[in-house]
Amino acid sequence: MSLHARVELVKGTLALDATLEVAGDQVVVLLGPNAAGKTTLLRALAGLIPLARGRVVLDGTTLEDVDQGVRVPTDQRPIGVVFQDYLLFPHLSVLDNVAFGLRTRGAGRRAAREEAARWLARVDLAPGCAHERPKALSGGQAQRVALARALATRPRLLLLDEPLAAMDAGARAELRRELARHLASFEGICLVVTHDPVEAMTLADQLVVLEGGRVVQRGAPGELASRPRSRYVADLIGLNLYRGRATGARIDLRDGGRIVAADRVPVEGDVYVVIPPRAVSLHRTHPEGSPRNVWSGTVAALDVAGERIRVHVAGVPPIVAEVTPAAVAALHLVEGVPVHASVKATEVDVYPA
Amino acid sequence: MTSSGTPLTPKHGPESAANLAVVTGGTLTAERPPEPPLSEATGRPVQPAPPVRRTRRAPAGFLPLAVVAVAFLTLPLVALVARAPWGSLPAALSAPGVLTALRLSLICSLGAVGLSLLFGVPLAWLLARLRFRGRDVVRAVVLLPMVLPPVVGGVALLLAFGRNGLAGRWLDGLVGITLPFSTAGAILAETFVAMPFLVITVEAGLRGMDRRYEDAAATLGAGRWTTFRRVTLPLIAPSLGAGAALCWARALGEFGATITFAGNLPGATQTMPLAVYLALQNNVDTAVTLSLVMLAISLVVLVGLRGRWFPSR
Amino acid sequence: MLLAIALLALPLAPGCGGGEAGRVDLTVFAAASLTDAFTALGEEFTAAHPDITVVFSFAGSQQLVAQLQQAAPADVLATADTKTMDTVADLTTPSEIFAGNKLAIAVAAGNPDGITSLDDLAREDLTVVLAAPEVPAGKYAQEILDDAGVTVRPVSLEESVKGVVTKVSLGEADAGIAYVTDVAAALGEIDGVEIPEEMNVVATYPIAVVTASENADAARAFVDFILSSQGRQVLQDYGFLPPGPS
Repeated sequence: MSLHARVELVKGTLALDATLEVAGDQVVVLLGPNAAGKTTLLRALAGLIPLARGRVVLDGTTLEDVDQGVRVPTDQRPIGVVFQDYLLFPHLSVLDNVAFGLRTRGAGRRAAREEAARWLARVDLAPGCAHERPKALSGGQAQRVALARALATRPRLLLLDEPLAAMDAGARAELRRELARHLASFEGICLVVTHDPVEAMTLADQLVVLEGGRVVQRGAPGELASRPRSRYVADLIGLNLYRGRATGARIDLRDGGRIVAADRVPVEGDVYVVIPPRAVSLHRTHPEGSPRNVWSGTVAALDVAGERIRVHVAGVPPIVAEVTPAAVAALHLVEGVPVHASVKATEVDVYPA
Repeated sequence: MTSSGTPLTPKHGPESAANLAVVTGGTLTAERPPEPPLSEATGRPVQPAPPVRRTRRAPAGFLPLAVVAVAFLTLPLVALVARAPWGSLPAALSAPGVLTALRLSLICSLGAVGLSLLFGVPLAWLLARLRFRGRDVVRAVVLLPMVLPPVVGGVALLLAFGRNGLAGRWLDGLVGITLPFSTAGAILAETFVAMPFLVITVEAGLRGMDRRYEDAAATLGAGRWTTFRRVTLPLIAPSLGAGAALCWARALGEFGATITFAGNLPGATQTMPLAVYLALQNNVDTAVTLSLVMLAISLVVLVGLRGRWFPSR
Repeated sequence: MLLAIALLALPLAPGCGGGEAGRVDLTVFAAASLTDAFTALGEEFTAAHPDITVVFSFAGSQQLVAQLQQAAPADVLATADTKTMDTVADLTTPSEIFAGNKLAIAVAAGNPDGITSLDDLAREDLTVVLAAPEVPAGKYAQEILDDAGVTVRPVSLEESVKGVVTKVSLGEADAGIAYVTDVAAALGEIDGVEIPEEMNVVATYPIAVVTASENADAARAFVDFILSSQGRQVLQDYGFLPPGPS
């Protein structure tokens, strides 16, 4: 299985210009903030929005090529789509929803229903639900039906738009595990749109980060988590991210300030600098000892993150530290208090921009 | 599984994200999507909505105004019922012309609904879905029969489809179809007046429905016709039903265009309204009786359809 | 916008009139077949009585009578037959016959089908329309055809005699039976073929003052004018017959 897609189009204020390369039966997660163009990209791959430029080739079959004037209509593409709010046909029973795609592909009513029932069993939907209308289903059940409906036509490319977005938090973890299991057994390429980092990290073989209609980063989830290349990803992961110029082990940050790494930076020039918040220490007086990076600032904000407290320090550069509630109490940290932030050089990660 | 070999360098560098120190949410904490799921055409959410009791209190003054409206609309009908010669009702109903006119009325009005559905639904679809130059003009022209005095409509029909009409001349000479003074002509006249009601209602339904269901059907391999038949039509069924009911009611009560274009001949073109009008010339009792029959039938049909096409919450 | 307001205000003006001392608005209910003749007569009457404004309401005789029974504000009533007038005898002064009318065959201009007699109306190749038997013209037409022993199969029984003329003038019908006055009014668009005197029916037009009239003097003056020789002359110009035995 392979997918090669270059999608260029303009929709409203969004200018989408993205390339996707997938080899093998991978789960690719499209991650990005709202209005980044994730859903638009998905719809373009499904043929629901025409490309302005570019091409989509699935397994060597050209689905769309603007230059050659090729455009296979949506209903003839070997795709399956799970829409964000599932879009189960409200006038059809659950069984007939799943049988719909089989019927359009020529199956008889009876055969289609039998096959649909097998798919419903495969997604662990209680057989009693088959004759219900979709509005009688819970969110989790509806999601399973939508998945079964998309899988039943045996697509080679499965597109899922925010598959768990409509779930409440309690049901989400369980459904996510279940979804991961179904996607793992899916024979084909699977593209999942999400803006939920947990979903992204747990489902993805490959992550593609889309911002403002463009791919800003792609790679394995671990790689992205440790080496973000955009504010959006860094925010998601919860890391301090800076950009600057490296000279030896010293990095002059673009927006002021200086960070020293433990070793000589292998690349001279433009780099990203990442500092985990847990690696940041805060002090009321200039720290003793030899941390290589110490600078002063004032506490701008405090917020609770689980067992820890995140302290936003306004300084040059600004930084977020994650400390224990005990430390906050001991240091009398409140907004406006002057503090010194220190980071060991060994905790600083530097990589080329 | 490996990631593809695309370069890690983004096309569009994150310059704007050069200096990042703000870390907002907790690490790897899922957040609720700010994009709410779109509502369906039916207005029913995919997930059952939490049972919020909505208090329904009418704005001040609405109740008395609504009561006046109901009284205004029903009082004339009540007067008609009060005036009815109940004693002679069975005799009046079994008069030979009555059943003929009634049967003809049903045939013509249902025929008009049929024609309106056949031609009006595709028209409504085009008006709702296609952007084309002059669409607003087309819509206005299509709706004109609603404001045209029906008698003028009848004359216009004569000028178009009459024996010497623009198209009628051709129909008469080449195809041998003469529409005036025929039942077909009566159906045509009623269709002319009633079809706009269907078109406008169905168009509104098509505009109001969530078109993403059609997208969903396409991704499931449904071509345009299958999508329309199996998804669009069922989803706009309430509008279609309401439109057909309005169309039928208008056709059933049609008088001016019918008598002008199709004339008035018992058994061929004399529908109930025509019979009522002529009865009014010398026997008010008969006219009232015939009107009651029409009212009763309309009431039965409209109430019967209500449960099916105007879902009550 | 201003025009719209002006238009809205316009029809209100006559209704609100009467404020001027001595001015009278006279409302005359008249049968539809009198439209042309009465409009002309109204102008002549107003010329002679500048203080009286005549407002006409033309409709089918039955409708006029029905409206009068519901206390419509009419001063004078003129119908197309005595039978209809008699139904409101209790609401009017005794009626007087002021004109007569008779029927003719209306045919397409130039009479392309060569229709010369009532017998021709039975021809299979002709499309014939009549007025419905519920209205006077239709009733008279049926009487004439019955007397002549001619069986006609009309394609439509029009709700008014004007409908008959319209269908013939538009070419939808080849022939119909209408009042001579209607044929005269539409000459050019249609032609008339006379129905012999002995077979014809004479319709009589009565006129009366409405008892409840608040302008009884003006109403009486109008009726007298219609009955005067000047009034008869105008009526004759429009094809009406003089009253009295024919």
